[in-house]
Amino acid sequence: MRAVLFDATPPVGDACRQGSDALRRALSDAGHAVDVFPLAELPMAPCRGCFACWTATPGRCPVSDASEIAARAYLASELAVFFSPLSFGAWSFQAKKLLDRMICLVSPFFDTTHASGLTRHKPRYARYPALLGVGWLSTPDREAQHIFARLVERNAFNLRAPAWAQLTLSHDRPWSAQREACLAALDSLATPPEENAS
Amino acid sequence: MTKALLLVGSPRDRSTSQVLGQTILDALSARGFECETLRLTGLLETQEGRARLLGAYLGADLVVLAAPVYVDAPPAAVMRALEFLAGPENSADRTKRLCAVFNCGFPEAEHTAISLDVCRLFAKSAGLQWAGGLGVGAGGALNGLPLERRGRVTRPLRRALELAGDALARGLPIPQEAVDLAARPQLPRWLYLLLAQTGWLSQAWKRRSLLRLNARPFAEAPRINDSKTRTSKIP
Repeated sequence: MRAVLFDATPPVGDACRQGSDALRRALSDAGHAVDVFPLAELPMAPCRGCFACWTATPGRCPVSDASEIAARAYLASELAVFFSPLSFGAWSFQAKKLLDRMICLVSPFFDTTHASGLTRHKPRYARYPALLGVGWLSTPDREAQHIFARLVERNAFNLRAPAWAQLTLSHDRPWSAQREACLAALDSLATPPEENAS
Repeated sequence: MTKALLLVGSPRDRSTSQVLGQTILDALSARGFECETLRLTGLLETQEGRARLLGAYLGADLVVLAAPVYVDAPPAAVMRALEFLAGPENSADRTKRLCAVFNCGFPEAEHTAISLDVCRLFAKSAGLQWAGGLGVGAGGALNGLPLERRGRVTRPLRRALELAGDALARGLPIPQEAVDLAARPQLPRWLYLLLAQTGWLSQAWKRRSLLRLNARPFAEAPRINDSKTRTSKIP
């Protein structure tokens, strides 16, 4: 499967590099061809909230930087993987910067047909990749894990992922167990294609 | 004098978040609070900005965070500020309180729940008291205009913000009545969606992109670029 990994590991000496390494190994072992985007190293501005990507240059952010290449790669993949240290249960600043810039991938128009009753945006493209969210915690935190699980589910819902999974890694487990957990999550995505986001 | 700090997480000049946060701040100011407002966008880019944020944060008794929901969570600029303020060198005293008000462009206020939980967890992590939060749906209906200009439509929301300001001024958490009023739909869902979608069409007309609104610029194969690397198969 063609996969893209958006890796928000901080550039220097961060413990979550261990989780990133386990995830990369799992992706490789599962046979995925992976394009890696080290987000901390990429020039990318935060979203300006101008909605020009919906109404001025539809489908494309007018601010030309690495986010466009990332958005293209996201769409071209069958599996999009986000890895990030968790900040209060949510994506870190580096990962969130990219996610905020991804609204160009959906339509500005609304879709009210989902059984949950929640509104979301209509799709812009015919197909989207499955989504795997992997969070890193320096120590296990059930509250943060719960928020992260809801966040990835909602991201999948709004980014139109046909399948999704999430997991959190932390120091309390050895590297091999982290790799196994990643492999299990990847395995759960191997038999999509019904939409399981709600 | 008790100090309140409003942190605005929206990057927009005409900001609904600013209007919502300022309404709470006005209620606090009327009750004797000394108030200050900082916009988070770009603030942490400079040493001066970081020092300004830190100084205001450490000196405040009550922090009010007002922000939009971007892709189901607080915007990147807010996450950056929270990460910065939660640093071990910035530890706050236990008497400092935090509350938040989030608005989203979807009609349902439920989309703000995760953002509010993120702020609650930040408060716990940074040693602040969580004073509660308000989630507002259909933020597009406000469009950064003063709430009074929207007339009766915003009456429950104005009441919610007034109740929140009053409780916060008395050292209490935001009451459930305010939470419920803020979450109450300002317009019927169908009407809000109609107005919002008409708004997109109107903007596209002005920007001469009406016939390209459903464009799919990335439908073709991605470009190869130096800034990404393909991992080799690990042996």
